[in-house]
Amino acid sequence: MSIDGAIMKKSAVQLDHADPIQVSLHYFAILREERGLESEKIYTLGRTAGELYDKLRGVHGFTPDPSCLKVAVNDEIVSWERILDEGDNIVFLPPFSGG
Amino acid sequence: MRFLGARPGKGNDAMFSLFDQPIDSAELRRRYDAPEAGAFVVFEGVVRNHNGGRSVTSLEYEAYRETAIAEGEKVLGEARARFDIVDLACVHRVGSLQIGEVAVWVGVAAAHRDAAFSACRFVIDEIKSRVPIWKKEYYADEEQRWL
Repeated sequence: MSIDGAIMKKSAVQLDHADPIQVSLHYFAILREERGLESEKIYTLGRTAGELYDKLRGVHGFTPDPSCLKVAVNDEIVSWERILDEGDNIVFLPPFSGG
Repeated sequence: MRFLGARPGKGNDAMFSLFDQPIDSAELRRRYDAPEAGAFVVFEGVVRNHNGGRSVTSLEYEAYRETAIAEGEKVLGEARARFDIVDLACVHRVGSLQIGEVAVWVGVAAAHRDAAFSACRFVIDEIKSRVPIWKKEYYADEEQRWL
């Protein structure tokens, strides 16, 4: 198998969360108030950060639209298309208002 | 003053801190001044009693602590590299604040005023834009809102 073929096969496996993965969520500001928690660990079938937020929003009724949020995974701000891994720490960030 | 996260110091020590008690501006001024500085510029962001036509009674600040400190220190490091300055620091409050309290303090010591003013402006603008800190306003009509 060529190197490209090997990489493509690995990516295809990663894109398919057949089983739920456990992730840690940390909430701040309006999301913390609306969720009623500072943090929690959940199992999710969401493949990406965006899918996870959509699912959580559907369950908890979060006010912020994803278009005005950023998302951090393992302390790094990433795109909503970021594929989630078992054990990831995820924070949805409302617009900053410090200073 | 008890700081959360990195403790501010002189020179290249950690320069961005979160603080959960009232900021002592005079103490910070003494700490960060330097004999080689001919200019010391301070910005104090103070809680005011109005916003958007509403009467504000108090504020609350919350931070994504580790990332706020890391990004805040990055901003100050960029200021050091960009401007000809001697020392600088930024302290941001977390927790509840009353009208008139200092919410954020930025101090810059430089040989000359141009660099001190420019660095100070750069720091506060970047802190507001890049550091994960959130403000909640409490109003006289007993409503409250995350900004």
